[in-house]
Amino acid sequence: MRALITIILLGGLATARPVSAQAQTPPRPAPATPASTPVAADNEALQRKVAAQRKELDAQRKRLDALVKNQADRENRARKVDKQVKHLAEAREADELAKLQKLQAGTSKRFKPSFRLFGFADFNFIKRFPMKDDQFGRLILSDAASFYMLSANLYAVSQITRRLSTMMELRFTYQPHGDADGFEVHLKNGDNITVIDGPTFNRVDRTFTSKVSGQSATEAGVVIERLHFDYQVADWLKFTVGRFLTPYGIWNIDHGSPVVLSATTPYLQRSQIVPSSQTGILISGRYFLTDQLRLDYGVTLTNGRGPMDAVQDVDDHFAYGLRLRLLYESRKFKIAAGAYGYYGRLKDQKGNLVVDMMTGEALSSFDTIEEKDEFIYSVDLLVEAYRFRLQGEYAYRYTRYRSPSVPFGDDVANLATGTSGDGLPVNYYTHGGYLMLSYTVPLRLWGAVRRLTPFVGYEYHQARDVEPATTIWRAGLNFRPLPALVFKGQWEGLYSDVLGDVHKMTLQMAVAF
Amino acid sequence: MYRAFATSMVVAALVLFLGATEARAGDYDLLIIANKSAPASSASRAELKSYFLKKRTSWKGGGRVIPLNAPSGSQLRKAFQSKVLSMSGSEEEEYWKDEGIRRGTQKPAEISNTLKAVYHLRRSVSYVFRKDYKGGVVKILAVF
Repeated sequence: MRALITIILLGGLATARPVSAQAQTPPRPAPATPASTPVAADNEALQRKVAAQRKELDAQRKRLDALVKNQADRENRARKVDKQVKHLAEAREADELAKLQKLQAGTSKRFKPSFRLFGFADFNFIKRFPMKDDQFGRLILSDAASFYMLSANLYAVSQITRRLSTMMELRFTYQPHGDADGFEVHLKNGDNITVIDGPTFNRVDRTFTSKVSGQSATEAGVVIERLHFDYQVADWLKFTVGRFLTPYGIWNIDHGSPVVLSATTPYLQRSQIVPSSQTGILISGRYFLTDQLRLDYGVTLTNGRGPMDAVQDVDDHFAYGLRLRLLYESRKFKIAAGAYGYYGRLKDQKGNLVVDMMTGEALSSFDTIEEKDEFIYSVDLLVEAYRFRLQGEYAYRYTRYRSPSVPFGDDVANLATGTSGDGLPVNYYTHGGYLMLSYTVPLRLWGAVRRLTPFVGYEYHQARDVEPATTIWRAGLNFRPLPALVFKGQWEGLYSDVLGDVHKMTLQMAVAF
Repeated sequence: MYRAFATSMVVAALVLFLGATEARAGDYDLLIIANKSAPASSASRAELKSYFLKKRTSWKGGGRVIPLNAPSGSQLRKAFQSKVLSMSGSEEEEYWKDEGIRRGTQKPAEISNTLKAVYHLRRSVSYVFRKDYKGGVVKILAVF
C-alpha cells in the first residue's frame, strides 16, 4: 500500500517537476511594449499555472507526509497489538501453569487448603384465603397478603487436606423478632366480655436501643444448620462428626429453595417427624454394584432428640440410625428407593439439692421430667424418566413414654400437651407423606436451554393419632431462567378439621450465590 | 479423449472431497484421556459420568480420580456434555449449584489445554478432540 502511494506520488512529482523547473527560472523581463501584448498575457497565464501547480504540489506533499505518518502509526499499533497478544498468550500460559501446579499440589504431599463461601436465599409473596366460616383457622393463619423473607443460608466449605474437609451451613433469619403466638379466649354475654384465664397472645420483641449510639435495632437469629468435619477414606467409607443433616429422604438433603421444586416445605419435614439434623457420628459411603447401580448407606450414632441435643446429650442414651438407598441410573432413566430407621431414648431430669436437716448433709436427687423412646422409619422413592419426575416420601414415628404414662390408644384430654385427664403423657404416633409429580419442558430462551417445570403434589399429615389428618393439594410452576435463579408460583389447598380449609398462593424467587 | 479426461478429473475430485470430509469428521471424535498412572484402560459412559459429576471420587481400580474439564462454553466442553453427560451447559451448571447446596461439592477444575494437564497430572482424566491428540503421551479410555 505504502509502495503504491509512493509510486503514485512520485509520478505526480515527475509530471510536476518541469513545471516546477519552469517556475524556478527567473521570469523574463517584461518587454517595453504595453502589457496588453500577447507575450505578456501568456507569461502571466503561465505564472498563474505555475503557482497553482506549486500549490497542488505542496498539498500532495502534505498528503504524502500524512499518509506516511498514518502508515507509521498503523504499524506501531500493529506492533503494540502483537505485543499485547503475545503478553496475553504468555499470561494464559502462566495461568494454566499455575492452575496445573495448584492441581498437582492437590494431588501431592504439598496440599494447599481451599476455602469457599456460597449460599442461597429466597424472597416470597404469600396470600392465604381461609374459608370465611372457619373462625379458628383465621386465628392461627393470617390471611394478610405479605412479602415474606424467611432466611438466607450461608455455606463455608474448606478442604483442609486431600481427605479432610469441613462444612458449615448457617441460616440467618430475621426471626424470632415479631413472631406472634396464641390467642385469648373471650366470653361474651350480651355486651359483657370477660377475658378468661388461660391462653394468651404473645409477640416476641427483640428490639433494643444501644446506650452507646442511641440507635434502635432488632436482634436476628442465626441457626447452625450443620457443622461437621468429614474424613473421606474412599467412596465406600466416609466419617462425619459434628452436626449433620440426617441422611433420610429426599427433601432433607435437597432442602435449599433453589433446589426443591415447590415453594413450601412438606409437613413431614416441618413437623420434624424425623429430626432434620443430629449431633454425633455418621459413617457413610456408596458402593457401586455396577456402573449404573449403586448402594448408599449411612449409620448414625448421635445424641438423638433432646432439649439441647445440638450441644449435648442430657442422658446416657445415644440414638441409632441406619440409612440404605439403592439407585439405578441410565441415560434416560433413574430410580432410587431409600429407607431410614431410627431409635432414640430420652430421659430428661431436673436436679434437686436435698439438705438433711438432721445431719446437715447436702445430697443430690433427680426427678424425671420426661422419659421416652422414639421409633422412627421413613421411606422415599424417586423416579425420573422422559422428563417426568416422581418423588415421594413417607415418615412414621411412634413415641412411647417410659415415665408414668398412659398406654397408646387412651383418650387424650389435652391435645396441646398430649396428656390424659390425669396429666400423664399418652403414647402416640405421628406420620405423614407426600407425592410430587413434575414434567420438565426445555425452553430455548436467550441462546440456551431453560427449564420450565409444572408440578402437582399431594400431601398427608397426622400430627397425633387422635387428631384429624391434614391433606394438602398443590399445583405450581417452577421456572429456572438461570442456573442460579429460580422463580416459582404455586397454589395449594389445605384441608384440615383443626385449621379449617385454607387456600394459599405463594410466589417465590430463589437465588443461589 | 477429452471426455475421458474430464470424467477422470471429476472422479478424482469427488474422491478427494469425500476423503477430506471423512477426515474432518474424525477430527472431532471425542477421546477420553487419562494419565498413564490411571489404573484403567477403558471406561464406560456411566463410569465417566460418575467421575465428572463427582459421584465417584476413586478410580474403579483404586486411587483418587481427578477429573479435568475443558473451559465451559468451549466446543470441546459442549461435545463432552452432550456425548457423555447427556446434559446441556446450563443443566450441568444447575447440577453443580444444586450439589453445592446439598453436599457442598465443588465442580472439577477447568483447564484449556486438557491434554497437557492430563499428561502432567497423576490419576487425572479428561477429554480432547482427536485432531488435538498426540499419540503416546496419555491413555485413551474411550472414544465417543
